[in-house]
Amino acid sequence: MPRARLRTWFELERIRRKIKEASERGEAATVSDLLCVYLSTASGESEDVFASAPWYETAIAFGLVSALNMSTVNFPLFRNVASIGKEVPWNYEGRDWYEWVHVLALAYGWTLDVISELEIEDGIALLQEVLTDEQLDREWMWSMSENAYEYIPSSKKNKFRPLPRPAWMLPLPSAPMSVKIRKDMLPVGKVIDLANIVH
Amino acid sequence: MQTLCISDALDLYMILKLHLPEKPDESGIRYVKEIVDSMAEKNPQDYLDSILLMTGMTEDELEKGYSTIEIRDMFVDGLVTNQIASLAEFGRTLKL
Repeated sequence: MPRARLRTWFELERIRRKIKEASERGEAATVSDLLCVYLSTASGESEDVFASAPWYETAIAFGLVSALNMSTVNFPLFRNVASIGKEVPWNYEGRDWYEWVHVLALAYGWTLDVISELEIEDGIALLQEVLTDEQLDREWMWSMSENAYEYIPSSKKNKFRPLPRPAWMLPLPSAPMSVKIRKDMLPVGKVIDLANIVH
Repeated sequence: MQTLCISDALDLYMILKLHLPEKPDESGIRYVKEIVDSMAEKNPQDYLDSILLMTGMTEDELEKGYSTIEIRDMFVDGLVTNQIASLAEFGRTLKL
């Protein structure tokens, strides 16, 4: 089975999200249906093939196909993805895919077919570059605006207020510093680690 | 007894979910015993429901055609055929 291209990968990820949601709701019937839809979408075979096979064959196939179609790069674009609670009035089924196509088509002048057939990593990487460019452009324009500067009466100076960045562009939290503790301040006797005790 | 399809297997997992031990032992005997003990203690109906699902029989067919020992053997056979420990692992992976 060949690896999915961008359009199919996008669809597979949407089905995976649905599987996760149905699992959280404890809907076993929906989960099993979606597992077959996932495999059918990835392979082009009928859903019945996977629905009628012994369960472990379907389960193993799902594991293998999921692994095959995982992105090999850990893209920051998918880091700290916060779901937007409010749905916009102009939303429609499958709009998220067309948002991607719109951004890429606008930036590179490609057609829907060309974008659909991109390799998974190429599509994601290029989208991230376009979004990065757009954000940096906006930041530059914002820095030219007088709204970007706040007057502080106590210092009688203007303070620059940077344009907020999307969550995925924020710096990663740094690892906690290791601090050396003097030997005479360390606990005495047998130390019991209570960190993993379940309350 | 035949291996269940994915839809029936996940239904079986949902029935047995409460009764499945964390890890199987080597022989599987203690594993099955723990499932049966848990069913007897928490919900005996799950025992019947799981056998009906695994055999595809009706309650009437089961009660009239088989002895208690034969039904118990069918239950154990069904768990082995459907690789219950692997099914438990798969169900937990899906976070069902």
